[in-house]
Amino acid sequence: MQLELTLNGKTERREIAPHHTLLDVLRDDFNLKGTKGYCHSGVCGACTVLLDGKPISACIMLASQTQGKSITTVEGLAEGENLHPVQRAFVENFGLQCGYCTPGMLLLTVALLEENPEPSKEEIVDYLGGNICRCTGYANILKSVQAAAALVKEASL
Amino acid sequence: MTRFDYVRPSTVAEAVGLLEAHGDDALAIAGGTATVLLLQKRMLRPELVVDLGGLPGLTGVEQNGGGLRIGALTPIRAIERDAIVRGTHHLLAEAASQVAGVRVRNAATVGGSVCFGEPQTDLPPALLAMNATATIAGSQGSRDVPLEEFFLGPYETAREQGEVLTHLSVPTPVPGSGGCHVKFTMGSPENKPVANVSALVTVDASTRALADVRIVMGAVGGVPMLAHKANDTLKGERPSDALIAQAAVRASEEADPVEDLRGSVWYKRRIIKVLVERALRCAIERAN
Ligand SMILES: Cc1cc2nc3c(=O)[nH]c(=O)nc-3n(C[C@H](O)[C@H](O)[C@H](O)COP(=O)(O)OP(=O)(O)OC[C@H]3O[C@@H](n4cnc5c(N)ncnc54)[C@H](O)[C@@H]3O)c2cc1C
Ligand code: FES
Ligand code: FES
Repeated sequence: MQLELTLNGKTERREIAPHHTLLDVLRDDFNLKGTKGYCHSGVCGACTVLLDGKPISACIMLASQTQGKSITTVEGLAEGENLHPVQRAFVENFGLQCGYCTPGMLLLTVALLEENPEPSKEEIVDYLGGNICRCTGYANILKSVQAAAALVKEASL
Repeated sequence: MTRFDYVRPSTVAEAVGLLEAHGDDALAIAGGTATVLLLQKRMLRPELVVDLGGLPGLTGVEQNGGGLRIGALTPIRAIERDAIVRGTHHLLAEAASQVAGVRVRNAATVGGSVCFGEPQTDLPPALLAMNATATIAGSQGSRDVPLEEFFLGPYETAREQGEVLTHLSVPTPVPGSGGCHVKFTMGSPENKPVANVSALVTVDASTRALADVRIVMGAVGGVPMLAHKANDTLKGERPSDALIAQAAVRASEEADPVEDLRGSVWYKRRIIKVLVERALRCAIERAN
């Protein structure tokens, strides 16, 4: 089938197989390898992308379901060499080690700060808690999100 | 995943027509969070997937007569955040906020949660405690099914293959009511419940007695279950620690759990007893 969507701000059209997941189509048809797959069952959050600005799991959604919608992947965050403030906060606060969970954590953080620009520690844990990281022990992720909130606020002033 | 064709009908009538014409070869999907996993594992092998996601008028919450009309395609996350739901139907918002994590709640729909008929869920017990009714459209028109008659067994509901759930009607609790949803999970709170309890109580303002009690137990039977004996124990009585403890014991005896990865029958009965006590105390406090 012909899929038409807005992908990282650009209108894209692609012939896709109707039974492929959004995760498969992003990685294989659009060659956007930033979105990771691990559990393929909605549990771990490695495949988190934004659908019309809201985080979802790309592994448990058919690409066909995103017809006419807007998808943001981690590749859509930076502008050229300029990292998104949330990416900068993760780099500066060692919010990643192997990086496998990072695209998901970044996109969740972008969506969280959009909804709630000054989240409390509890609100951050509640929002990001469903995404699994096997390396960092989460402390630096929390720090990164707090730093990101400050950077995003600064950027919007 | 097996191959299938995909359609996205633009009216309920068209969706019903497709589902009826293709019978067991067709599968309806809404958010896809339950079904896409089963498709990947080849536990479902439809020839045609009918995506209900484009049907107009089935998303959102509105006030309607003595309650709320909740469109079947409303994402669970929208229920949790809706100002009206949080006000008059707080129990529903609370149960919604305990389903999985935000990623799943953004895609998962209320209708999908109800139609899937999975025993380990949070929203159906709360909807049942609030005495909701499902409206289902078929080729012969629409019919209303109270949720008490909707859940028939694990993954089995009163919805026929060709039918589409269009909305749920949830009465507004009378003044003096309070609700509470308590969930117990293994590991992180995003996991599916080992057991949960949704309780809705009404306290009589003058006598302080419990005018009405609806305790629903989830994940400890094939369907969400009203704890009839516990409810009868409490109705008309003024709540005391002893009475709450007695009702909790009755509820744990009524529960019909099965042993699985989440625990043994003995364990789940113990958990249910504690959850009923907690939910009752919390609901009564909120009612006052
Ligand atoms: C990682 C993970 C964690 C989860 N944790 C929880 C939890 O803690 N608590 C909880 O309650 N649930 C939990 N769930 C289950 C989740 O709530 C369901 O997957 C979701 O509600 C299903 O909704 P959907 O719109 O995605 O349904 P779909 O997958 O699209 O459909 C589910 C079923 O309903 C049918 N259907 C859907 N909509 C309609 C309609 N309008 N008319 C007729 N039939 C319809 C479909 O044919 C299908 O049989 C979890 C799921 C995942 C993936
Ligand atoms: S790969 Fe999608 S949630 Fe784990
Ligand atoms: S940085 Fe390795 S999984 Fe999170």
